[in-house]
Amino acid sequence: MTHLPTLVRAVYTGFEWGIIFYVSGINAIYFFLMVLGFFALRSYRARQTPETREALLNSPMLPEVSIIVPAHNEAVTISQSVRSMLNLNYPKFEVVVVNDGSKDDTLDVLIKEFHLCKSTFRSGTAITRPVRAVYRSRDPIRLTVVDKENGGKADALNAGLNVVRSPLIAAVDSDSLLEDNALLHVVEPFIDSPGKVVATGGIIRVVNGCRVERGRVTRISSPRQVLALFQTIEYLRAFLGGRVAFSFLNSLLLISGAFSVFDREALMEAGGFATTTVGEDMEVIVRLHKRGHQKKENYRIVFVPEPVCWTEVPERWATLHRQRNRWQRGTVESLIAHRCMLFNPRFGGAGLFAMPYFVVFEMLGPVVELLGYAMTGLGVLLHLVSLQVAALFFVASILFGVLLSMSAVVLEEYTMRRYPSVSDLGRLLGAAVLENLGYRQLLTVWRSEGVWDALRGKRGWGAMERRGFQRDAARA
Amino acid sequence: MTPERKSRISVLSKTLAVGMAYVLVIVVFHRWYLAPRMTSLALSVAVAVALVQCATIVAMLGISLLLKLTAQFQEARSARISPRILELLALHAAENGRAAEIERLRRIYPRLVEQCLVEFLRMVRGGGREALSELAADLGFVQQWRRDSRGRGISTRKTAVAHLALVSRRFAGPALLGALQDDDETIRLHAARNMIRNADPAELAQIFGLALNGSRVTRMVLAEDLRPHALELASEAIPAALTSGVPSRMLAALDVLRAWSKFLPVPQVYGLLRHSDPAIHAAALDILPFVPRLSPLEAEVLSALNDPAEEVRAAAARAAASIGITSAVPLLSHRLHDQDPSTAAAAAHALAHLGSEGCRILEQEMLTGSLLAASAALEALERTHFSPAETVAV
Repeated sequence: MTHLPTLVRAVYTGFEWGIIFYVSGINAIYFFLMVLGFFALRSYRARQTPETREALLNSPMLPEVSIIVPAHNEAVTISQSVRSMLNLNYPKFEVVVVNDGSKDDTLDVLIKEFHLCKSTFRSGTAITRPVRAVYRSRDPIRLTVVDKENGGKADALNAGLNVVRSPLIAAVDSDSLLEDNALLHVVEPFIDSPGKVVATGGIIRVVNGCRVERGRVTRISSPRQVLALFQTIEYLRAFLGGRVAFSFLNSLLLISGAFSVFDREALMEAGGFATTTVGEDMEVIVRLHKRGHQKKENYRIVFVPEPVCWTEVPERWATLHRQRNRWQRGTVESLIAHRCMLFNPRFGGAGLFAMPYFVVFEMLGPVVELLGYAMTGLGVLLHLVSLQVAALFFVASILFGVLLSMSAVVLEEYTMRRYPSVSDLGRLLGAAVLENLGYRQLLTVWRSEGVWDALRGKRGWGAMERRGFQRDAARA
Repeated sequence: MTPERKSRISVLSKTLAVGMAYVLVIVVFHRWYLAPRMTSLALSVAVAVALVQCATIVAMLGISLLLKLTAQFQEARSARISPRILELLALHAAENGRAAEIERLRRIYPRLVEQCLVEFLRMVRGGGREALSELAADLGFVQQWRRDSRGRGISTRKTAVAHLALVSRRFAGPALLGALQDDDETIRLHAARNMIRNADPAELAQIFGLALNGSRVTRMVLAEDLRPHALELASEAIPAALTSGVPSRMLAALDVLRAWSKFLPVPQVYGLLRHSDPAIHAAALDILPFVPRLSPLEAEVLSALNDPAEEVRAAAARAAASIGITSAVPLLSHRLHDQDPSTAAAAAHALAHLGSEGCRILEQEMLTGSLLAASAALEALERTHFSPAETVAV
């Protein structure tokens, strides 16, 4: 083995150096984003004036918001979600649920719970799958339900866009619960910079393990179930580190589809939601960047570092697998669709920093990581690299993962402090270590599979399992 | 340089400083500790990176647990001691003779006494507030807050201004007035909000000026706070803004008037009905229902319905509906076919509000009009006359 041809050795050494540079680069970027996120978050919080919110809520100058909720087979959670939305602390809003051809009794639940009756409707300009009927509530609540044939989430959102007229549009997942002041938090940037802000989003939190009563989270607790706990860490890391930093640099390419708000005019101009991708949330944001730069507008896409929305995360491996596969496919599809922005100075920070970051680290990252593991193993077998160095390389990358996860938990504890007890914190810190020992590597495999599926043109969402919020209430 | 830009630069420089410090620690550890002890350079660098990461992880673990435990300890101590402090403050507010005992507690628990005093000051008025303000000055809190109100940190300044606003004006006055000139808008807003309650007319005018020159959030918040003083402001401050000739100030003043939607004696609005800036013209039309009708309005509104600017036409349609100008019906029915959808929608809405003739036109448009006019008519009728009880239950 030690007498391998020089060329093979040279190629291998070159490859190993490439991997080392890649890993160093990704670590440096993640570290930069996390530290930037920390200081940006601190600066944001120093400027917050929660005392003004009461006055803002009383102001007739607040813009009206239409909340569009696409629902497909959501009979278990839809009632609580809609109730949570109707209870929002915001004076001017309407809720539009779009039943996207559900095969379960989602529509029946809505009709029964909210006393719906058929109403007249007129179609807008967006082309969607046929609408069967529009319902409105007989109760004094502003709830509209659009019943349409199945066409996917983006199609449902477009159908919702057709029946609303407000200047601001909120897209909310039906399995999400919103905080009372959620709408006000995410609308504030639109008020602060009128005409400049085209989209906003906030922090999405994991509801598993929390107590939920009447569509509201009444007791916050970290999940007991290990898979949900690991995902809690992932969410903290993604939102408190990455998104705060990207927003600060005005290079945010992704606002979670679970809860995002758009300027209606900008969204319609950009062409609504794309039905050709499973990552419509990322795709629409990339398109808004493109539109802003093409029109030479001084636009902004803002991430609001306030906890605004609670979502149920998968507690089964198979469901999580499908979800991550879909997310990765969505990322790849969006990046390929807008590849003209890559390294293009015309698109500012989005083209020169965010797009390359997403392509190099988010899209190709899992593939490179897998290759790195495989080649290091091969190098050890062929005695091209010592076991000691390989082990150290592996340990250093694990430690870096722990460092980032731990930073996210510390950031949460330093700024938000939403998890009240020491045992919650202990669980989160424990998960920050353990998720790097197997779970993250498994996600790497799934994400690589997602890249492959996207490249071979796989479509479809895959079934998502809903367990309902009441289960946690009963247990808590 | 704007405060926002300053803050961005500060965030970026702090980030770079932390990153460089982190790299420096690794380099120092490698160069002066590990390299002399190890044969391989790569191994030395890798071990240095791994060990510094380990140390950072342990530090973070310690920090987060320490933060949590400290918060819990403080909470427990506050629950134990605060009732006693609050009781003493209540007695002092009523009888004014517990200063010595409170001073003794302040020496042991300065933060807790300050918190309780602030909490109590929020609840009392009149003599009690005077007594507690004096106590705050005697205990040195007022001096501390004054110093903090000129400090460097935004949070510190904001907290200090909020606390100063709670004490009597003879202690806090100059400091609050100073805060109105602060570099940071959130602090100016904070100071203004806290001053409104006891402000004299000159201060009210100054705060109104802040509302006009500030961001939209500042304007919205101050407009609500200034609402009870609208009549007072209508005598001088509002007319001055409306006749200032500065478009941004004029628009902001109209914005505030629209938010109040109060009947106010500001005839200066009439002067803006022929303004060359369509935004000001439209905003003035929106205010018309809330100003005294000194001259015939109909001609102004009817002429605005034919204005070349679409926002003016839409505002004129809204004004016709709110004032009830029935003679505008023929022009409004014409506007149903306006190229601008929002003008068509406003015209439809106005027709729905202008009695049976307007509704008849809308019904006719639903059957025979263009797609845009028909849908605007349908929506206006549904929004104005929709009654859930009339619809058929499923």
